[in-house]
Amino acid sequence: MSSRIAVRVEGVTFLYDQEPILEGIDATIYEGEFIAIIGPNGGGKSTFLKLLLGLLEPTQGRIEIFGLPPAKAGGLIGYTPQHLHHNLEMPLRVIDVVLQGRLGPWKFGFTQEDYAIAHQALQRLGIPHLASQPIAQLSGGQRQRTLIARALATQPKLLVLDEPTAAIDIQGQRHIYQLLKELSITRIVVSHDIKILLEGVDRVFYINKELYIHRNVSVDLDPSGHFCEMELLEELGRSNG
Amino acid sequence: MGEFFLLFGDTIAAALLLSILIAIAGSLMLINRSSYIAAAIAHGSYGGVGLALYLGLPILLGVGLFALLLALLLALITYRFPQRAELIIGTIWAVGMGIGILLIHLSPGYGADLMTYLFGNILLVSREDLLLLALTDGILLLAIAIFRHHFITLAYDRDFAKIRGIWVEGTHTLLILLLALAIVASVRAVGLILVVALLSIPPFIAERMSKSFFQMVLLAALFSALFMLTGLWLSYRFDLPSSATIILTAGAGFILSLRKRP
Ligand SMILES: Nc1ncnc2c1ncn2[C@@H]1O[C@H](COP(=O)(O)OP(=O)(O)O)[C@@H](O)[C@H]1O
Ligand SMILES: [Mg+2]
Repeated sequence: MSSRIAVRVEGVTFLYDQEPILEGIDATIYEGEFIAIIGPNGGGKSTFLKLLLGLLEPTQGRIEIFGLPPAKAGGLIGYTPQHLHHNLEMPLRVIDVVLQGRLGPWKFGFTQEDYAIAHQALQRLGIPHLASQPIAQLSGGQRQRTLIARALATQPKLLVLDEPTAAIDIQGQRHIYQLLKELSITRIVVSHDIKILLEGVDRVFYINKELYIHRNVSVDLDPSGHFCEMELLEELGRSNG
Repeated sequence: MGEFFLLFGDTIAAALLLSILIAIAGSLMLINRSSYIAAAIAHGSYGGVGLALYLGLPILLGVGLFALLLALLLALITYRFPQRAELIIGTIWAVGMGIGILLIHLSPGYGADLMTYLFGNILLVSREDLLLLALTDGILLLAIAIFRHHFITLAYDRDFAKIRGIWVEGTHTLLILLLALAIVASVRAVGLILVVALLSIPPFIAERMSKSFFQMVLLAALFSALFMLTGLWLSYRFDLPSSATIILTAGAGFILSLRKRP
């Protein structure tokens, strides 16, 4: 981890229809950090990511991604959206979706290298055999892996994943957490599942309209390997650690 | 059969040229779920028929101007206000037709063959019509040769396209302009109402059988050629209006395709 800044968020507030969704958010994320974002449903996690991605504009405050305004930093970011209700009927193969990660404004076709990068991304997600599968035939978990592969195929400096494992079984989740742990780029991962805290994250952002940042969250497992999720979540939302 | 091909050389050429146009514009329309937009352009462009008659301009010019205007307006509205779009589109559609009806009423001495602009007449296509169709095919082919990945990514995941630096509003507008062009070019042959059905049916059948966008366009072209030639032959053989036989053939194909889901 370096001390160079990847993401700087200063005094950001976001209103939706006059309703504050996020308030007074300040955060600095350093290059190479692995950040987990957790918090209640509707707490503003996805909104926070969309602000970082330049898909939404802060009502107040400022965001910089590697020193650039978010709208200009898209080329540095690999993104996996939370909701998978994309055009599922579209006649696309898995590889076509992953290749979207190689697209750019002045790019009108894909090179051998693009294909190689896309295949490699599928390999890392453990689904190289699905490359020519039509997306209409994928399970929820396979679709999610495809979208993570697409994010990796952008060869990003910053990976932004919104609940990437929601549709994936426990074993698959471990595989993806392991993959995230091995990456050295900056990672911001929203998780519905606080088991992610066991997977080598550097800091935890708890977002519920406001942001609470925690370092070194210790997760106490009981003998059966469970921990009390409710208690931990409540605590994370209470104080800055 | 041979006599049929000899007698209707231009008509068959028009059907084949139309198939390419329908396959490309229809496939783009379908993956972007913009059939409502295409329908609004087509119906609203009736206002252009009225305008041309009222001012004594060539019909194609009136329809072309109107379609261009509507396409730009619809591109703007559907991009800026996607939640409200349906309501506004419905209004544009109706207002366009209203203008058409009014202006035609005010134009002296115009009567029955307005049906031609709603349903077209592929038996009466001229060499200029064929040229326009061929030109439109060329533009559409060029557009998807260059921008197919942009169109596809936009249709699949607009946010992702935006993050990748694609000019989303420009691509969205280009797509709608291409739809408008396809509609204008096919007015004389199939008319403003039939064109929407033809843009929808072959690509819809093709989509369900295709693994890639390229395959979808190819199959859609084959299906539309099949429907149009079959329709024309039925029209010739049984002396029936060709627009009706073409659309009913396509409709029958549509129903058959629903039954035979693999
Ligand atoms: N397009 C939208 N329309 C209406 N409400 C929205 C919209 N986007 C976000 N919100 C509101 O913003 C809040 C935060 O949503 P979100 O960021 O998706 O939360 P999370 O990802 O933490 O579940 C929710 O209360 C939601 O109702
Ligand atoms: Mg969310």
